[in-house]
Formats: sequence, C-alpha cells, structure tokens
Amino acid sequence: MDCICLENIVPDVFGAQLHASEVWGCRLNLAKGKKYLIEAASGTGKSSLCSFVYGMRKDYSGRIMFDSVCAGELDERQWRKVRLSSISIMFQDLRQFRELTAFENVVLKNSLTGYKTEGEIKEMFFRLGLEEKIDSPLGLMSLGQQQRVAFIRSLCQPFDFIFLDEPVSHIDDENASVMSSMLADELERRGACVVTTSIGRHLVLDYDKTLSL
Amino acid sequence: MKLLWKLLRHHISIARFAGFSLASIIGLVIVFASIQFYCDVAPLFSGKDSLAGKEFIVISKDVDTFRSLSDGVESFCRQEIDEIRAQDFVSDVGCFTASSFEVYARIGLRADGLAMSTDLFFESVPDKFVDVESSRWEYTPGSRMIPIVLPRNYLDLYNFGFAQARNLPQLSEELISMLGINVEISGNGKEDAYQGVIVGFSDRLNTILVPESFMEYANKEYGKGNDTGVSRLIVELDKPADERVAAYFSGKGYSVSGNGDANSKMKFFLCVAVGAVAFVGLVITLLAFYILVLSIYLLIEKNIEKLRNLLLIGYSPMAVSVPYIVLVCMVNLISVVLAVPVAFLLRSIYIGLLAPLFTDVAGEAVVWIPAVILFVLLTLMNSAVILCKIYRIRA
Repeated sequence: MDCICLENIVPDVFGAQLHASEVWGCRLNLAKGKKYLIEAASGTGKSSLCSFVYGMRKDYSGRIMFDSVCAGELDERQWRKVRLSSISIMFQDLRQFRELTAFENVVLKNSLTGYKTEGEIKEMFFRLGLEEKIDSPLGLMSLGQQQRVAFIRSLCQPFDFIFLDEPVSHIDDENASVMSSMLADELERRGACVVTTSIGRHLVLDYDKTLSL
Repeated sequence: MKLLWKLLRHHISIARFAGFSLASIIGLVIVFASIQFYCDVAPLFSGKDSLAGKEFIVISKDVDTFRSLSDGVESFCRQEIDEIRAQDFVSDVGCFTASSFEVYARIGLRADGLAMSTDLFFESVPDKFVDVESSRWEYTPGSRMIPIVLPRNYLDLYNFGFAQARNLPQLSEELISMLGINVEISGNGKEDAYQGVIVGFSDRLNTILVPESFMEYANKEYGKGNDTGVSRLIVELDKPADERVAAYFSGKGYSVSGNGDANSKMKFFLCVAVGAVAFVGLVITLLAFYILVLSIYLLIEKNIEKLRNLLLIGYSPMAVSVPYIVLVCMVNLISVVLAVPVAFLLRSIYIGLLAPLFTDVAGEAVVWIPAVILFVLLTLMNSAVILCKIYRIRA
C-alpha cells in the first residue's frame, strides 16, 4: 500500500458543525515514507480518525482510499489482510490482554506473521527498560509500561503505515526518546509512513507535516 | 494456540460443564441402552422361520364328535376356497395337500445302532408359502432326497422331553439338519427308501412339510388313488390385526391356528416402547445440548472484548473459535465415553434378567454406532453455533 487518501471524511457525530480542520472535510493524502503529526485538543476526533482508517468504525461520511481501493468496500478477509500486512496501529486504549504476560501479549501478535524473532522482541523490551517485566502479567504493570509493550507489539508485523494514537501520553522523556529512535529506525528500514497523534507531548521525529484537526 | 487457550479459558465454569456432562450422559445412556436393548431383544421375536415372512393363518373346519364317528375329515370345497380368497383382507390362499401313503421314518442317533423310528405323515403347501432357498426346496421325480421342513416344537419335544427322559444327547437345529432322516414310503404295493434332508424349521405350522412336487409324485406313485380333499388352508393376510379376520372365520365355523401375529404384535409393542424410551433419551440429550450451547454463549459473551481485540489484531474468526470447538469436542467426548460403559452395564443387567426366559439373548454390541453418530452430530452442531456466534462479533 503506497497511499491512504482521506476524501472529505467527516465523522457523523459532527453533523453540520464542522470547524476549520486540515483533516475533516478535506482531501488528505498520506504517502508511504512520510511522517505526519496530528495535533489536536481532546475530543476533536483523533482516535475516531484512527478507528476509521483501521476499519473499526464506519460512522463517517466521505471515502477512505487505500491506493485505488475504497476501504468501505473491503470484506472481513480483506480487512484482516490489511491489518496483518499494511497497516499497524497502537491504540490509545492499548487493547492488550491483562491475563497474559507482557511478552505473551507481543508474541500473540507476532505469531500471526512471525515478523520478529524472539531475540529481536527481547531486545526491544531491553531497550525500553522492560527486561525485568517481560514475564509479568500485563495487568500488574503501570500504564506507562503497558504503553511501551503496546508500542513493541505494533512493530511486530509488516506494515506500510503505522498509526500511533497518543503513544507517549504516560511515558517519561527518556523512554519517549528511545521509542522515537526505535521508530525512526523501523520506518527507515521499511520505508513506511507514520501518523502519530498528540494532545501535547509527542514523539520527537522529523515530521514532514503537522496537521491540526 | 496455547496463548489463545490461556486467554480464552477464563470464565470457564467447571460446574456448568459438569452439569452439562451429567445431563448429557443420562440422555445418551438412555438412547444407547434402548437401541442396544432393541437390537438384543428384537431377534427373539423374529426367529428365522421357514414359512413365508408375511402374516398368515391356518384354517380348518371344526372337528366335532359326530363327524369323528362318521366318515372322517371335513374338507373345503372349491366354492368355499374361492369365497375366502375373495375377502379383501386375504392376499393369498394355499391348500394343504395331505399324503395318501404311509411314511415310516428313522433317525440314527448313535453309532451303536440306537435309533428312533416312527410312523409319520407328510403335507405340502404351495412353494410360494415356504421361505426356503428355492434350490434347496425342490424335488425331481426319481431322486431319493426329500427336503423337509419340521415344526420347531418337534425338536423341542425331543430335546426337552424325550432326550432327557432317555438320557439321549440334545440336538441343535444345525446338527439335526446334518443328520438327515431315513424315510421309508410305502403304499400301492410299493415300498422305497428315501433320505430326508431337513432344510428348515417353522414355529408357525404344526406339520411336516415336503415340496409340492414331491407330494404330487408320491401321491401318484404310492397313493391309494382317492383324493383326500383339502382339510386345511393356509391364508396369507394383508393386515393380521384386522378385526374382521377373526369375526369372519369364527362366523363361518372355521378354527384358526398357526397364528403368527402374536410375535409381530410383540415386536410392534417392543418397537413402540423402545422408541418412546429412546425418544425421551434424545430429548434429554437435546436439552443437555442446549445447556452446552448456552454455556458456550455465556463464555463467549464474557470474553467478547478479548475476542474483539483478537479479531482486531488480525486473528481470524475461525482461529479464535478453535479453542471453543476443542472444548465442546472434549466435553462431548467425555460424555459419550462415560455413557457407553454405563449403557453396557445396563445391558449386562437386562441380559441377566432375560437369560432364564430366552436361550439366546444378545445381538451384537451396537452401542458404539449411535455413540459415534451422536458424538459427531452434537459436536458439529456445537461447532456451527460457535462459529455463527463468533462471526457475528464485529472487529
């Protein structure tokens, strides 16, 4: 997938009250290889945008195009393929499994594609200061630690686009900068596009474009 | 798969599944035992009989004292036979032909010459009423072999009366069929020796049957020449339970015997009783199945957020269904595997109870057939329900 094009997307909840925005109601091209930062206040629809692109919600008007294919027309099987090979996401609410350990959460995702080796996964845990938490049940970990695990999980699959929804909201600067450099390496290696959202603090990357919702 | 199981096994209630298993085992045991019971007992009511499998009766005219004192046997005339044939509950009528010659039979039992011998008589009915392989039930004039069908109770008389009283060996049907009978036929100034071959037994007819072709030949050869007339008729019925049957024949003053429908009635009642019991078992099994479906629904509902997240990170509905399908497979398997020995236990109990009444209870052990069928069927239905439910979760 080389391009995600948002054509006049407006969430249904907005109705007629559309504020000035560089995303909603506009035509926006997200191109592979670029880095985008979406900054906005809370409640302006950052997570909605991620849900629309990831196919979790369809309560919007307009069209989302994956290259020349309309996302609204994909069936279950095609969505699975997109989620396994083209688009990765780190949910704002993380959507991890508290019953499993941190490592198992990552392996559960990685085993679908076998994209990373066990060694590579452990290396990522190590870089993010989670080596001692690797076998801890996720439910016993702090939100910041869970966010780092979710970040690792989002890297454990092939992708052309990665959406990170407020990835550093509970993470200290030191870890945030490690995440930035890990992400930069991954993006460069894959030639992928990143879209991160933020309400203030954000991952430090050399963004090609900063958009406001 | 291990991780999926670790994730999805939460909320599994052992008590609920134990409840299901118990209900299911009760239902399955009833189904299995009734099917096995039917297979064991039904053959007792349908012992192989050499006379036509259809329902028939034998009718004769009542024997009264005056007739006994006068000229012998009352026989049916052509007109009476046609009238019986014309009744709409009668599908066929055959005449008994009696022998008009003398028969003397001898069975050698021991090498030392001990033998039984007796005066006998032969009768014949049209071949179509005799259910013996046609190649064994034929006689070519001049041959010295006569196929014979014996009443089974003659053998019982010998085995349980004569043999015990005289300390002689009891004979099985197979053995006596192999032994054969030496038959001497005389009359009309001739006397010849024949070899009788027992080709079958009958519970329903109290006479010694030979093929019609032999009877014709022998009556001509050794007979006194006078037509003995038809004293008994074999009547094949459409519906033996038809109440007009008894009314018609008693109205005519005919006596009815060889009534084979007692067994068929028994078999019918057996069918109904076993069917009703099996039905109850099946209903219990289906209710248990319903409990299992509800348990699985509850389990899926409790884990729905996890399932949705699994689907979101790229798991297929099929993949996340597998743990549940394996679960019901195991639970069903446990139920069936526990139900089968219980059914066999019940079988040994009723066989013990029936043994004094019947010599040869027990057909083949067939429980495993319904066991496999029900296991596959229940598991397939469970799996379909699970897949439907999971496919309905929107990622």
